[in-house]
Amino acid sequence: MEVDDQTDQRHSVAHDPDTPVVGRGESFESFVRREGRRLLGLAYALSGNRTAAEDLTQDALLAAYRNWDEVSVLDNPGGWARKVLANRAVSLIRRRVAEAKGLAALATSRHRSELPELSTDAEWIWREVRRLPKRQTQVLALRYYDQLSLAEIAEVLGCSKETVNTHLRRARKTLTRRLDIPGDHS
Amino acid sequence: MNILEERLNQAGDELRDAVDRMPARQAPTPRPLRSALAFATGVATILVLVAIPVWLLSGTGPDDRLIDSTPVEGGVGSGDVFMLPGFVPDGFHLARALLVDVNQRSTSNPADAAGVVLEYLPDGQFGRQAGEPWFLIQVMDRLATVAAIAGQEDLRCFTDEGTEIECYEGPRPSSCTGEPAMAENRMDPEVCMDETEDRTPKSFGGTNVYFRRTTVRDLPAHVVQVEGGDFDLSITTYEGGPVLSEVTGDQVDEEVLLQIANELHHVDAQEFDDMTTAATDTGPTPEEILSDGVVTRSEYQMAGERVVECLTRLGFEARMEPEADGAPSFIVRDDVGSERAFKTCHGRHVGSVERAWADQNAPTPEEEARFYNSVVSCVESEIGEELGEYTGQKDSELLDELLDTRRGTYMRCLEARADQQEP
Repeated sequence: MEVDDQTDQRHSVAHDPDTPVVGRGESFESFVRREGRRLLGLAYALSGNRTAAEDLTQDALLAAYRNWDEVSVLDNPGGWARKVLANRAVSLIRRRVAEAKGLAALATSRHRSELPELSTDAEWIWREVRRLPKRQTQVLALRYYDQLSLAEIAEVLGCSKETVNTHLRRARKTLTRRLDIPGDHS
Repeated sequence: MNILEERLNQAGDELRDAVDRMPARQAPTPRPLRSALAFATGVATILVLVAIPVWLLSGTGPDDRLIDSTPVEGGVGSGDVFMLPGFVPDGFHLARALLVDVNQRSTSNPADAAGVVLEYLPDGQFGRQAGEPWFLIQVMDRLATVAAIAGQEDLRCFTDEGTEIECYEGPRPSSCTGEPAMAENRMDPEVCMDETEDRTPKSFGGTNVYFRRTTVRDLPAHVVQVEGGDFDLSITTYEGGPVLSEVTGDQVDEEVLLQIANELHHVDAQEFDDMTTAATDTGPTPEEILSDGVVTRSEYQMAGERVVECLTRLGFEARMEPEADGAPSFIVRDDVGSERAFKTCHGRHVGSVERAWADQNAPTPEEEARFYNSVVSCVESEIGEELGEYTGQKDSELLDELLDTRRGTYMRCLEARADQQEP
């Protein structure tokens, strides 16, 4: 029996009677429709590469599918998927780096696949965000792409709100310098 | 809300919009270039110490910081640093002409110029090549430059052997550019030449260096000759006040360089701009680059440099950074109209070259399959099981399965194989 009990009406979808019911809560397909694009954007913010972002999203959704019985009854299945995605991003980015090195050495290189119509400033900012330490990158992506509160970020990353705040403060300080923003460099 | 917060929010908004509008597939977007005059603080110290534009000899530096222009009180008027040669030897053309500010950053605003740089290369050549002759003309307000460098909070100083030293110890302060000179905004040529004669050999430790005084256009000047260095000869002329001109060359006869120095003359900013803009617009066009059907790494770089020149000419701050695979990426300071200017300059100068580069360097399915199969073989040998063959699909089930179930082994093998492939 499918129960689409999401409270956020902006993202709710009509029930498709043909959708297989995977778990006891929301259907997996509904979950993918609702969260898929947001996860993809978060993955792009973390990886800077669309192909890698698609891999990461797929990876996180696959993990959610395999554990749907447990995930679907969580208060925040999207948060669970974000946590998986943020953690796997690190491994996948390492894999991509290794691939790029290997293939480049074969006198080959692939064209990067980027998102369209991102301004050069936004591209620059996200690039600088990705240069930050891993945890700071995750915090900023969840904050500014996903618009999560400090408490929500803490939940996704499995740490305290204070820790999130510390990462956020350090990241802002570094970015202020790297983005050459006048004024507060303290 | 502060500026950083605003920009991060905007970057997040744009990313969400882009994801919402994402088509099935899109063309890659080129990105950020190191300024042609990116400034290495270590090398800058050498500049301070020996008055030879070593930082120009190797082109770009490793530092990609953007430093705010720092006006120096009492600096010379911008008109004093605009000079052009009256004589250029046959077979050379002007390949690069730049205005630089006190921080040695290229600028498009003549009012900010504390120096000019002109690079001449053999005809038909658009980047400096080992073994080929070249010469540079640099004119600079040296006191303004030294003051700006000394004022940098994060200035780092190195000996010529590369050992980091305290910036206010060692051979500094310079008597040539010290407080008396700063107070009067003029350098005493005799003091400066004494200092240079003393310091130059130390700065080129282990290399034979010869120093001698001379006159150029009846002005005091000195010549530094180097055996086995990055350049053969440099002629420095004390133009008056805080301004120096230097003609530096490699594999160009001394008489020729002296003639160039002797025929340098002051022009106004507009004349300088008119002459150099027309003269430097001579790099290979995309059509010329593509004419032989092959894009080399240096051709790709040159096309990228034209994008930056184009943006600079339009008044935007831009730089280029080479990616690991040799492709240039661009960073353009966000400003009103910068995006449109970037699209225009990029499309005109590098778009078709970039597409050709991507096509010619794309890995073949066979190459990709060979690489991944070597990774799979590595995993097989580590776990003692047969896993099958990579079929050529990047996200094949085999790789996904390995990533899921044998993540550690897979990553180790992937990185080991990648390292083995390093050229």
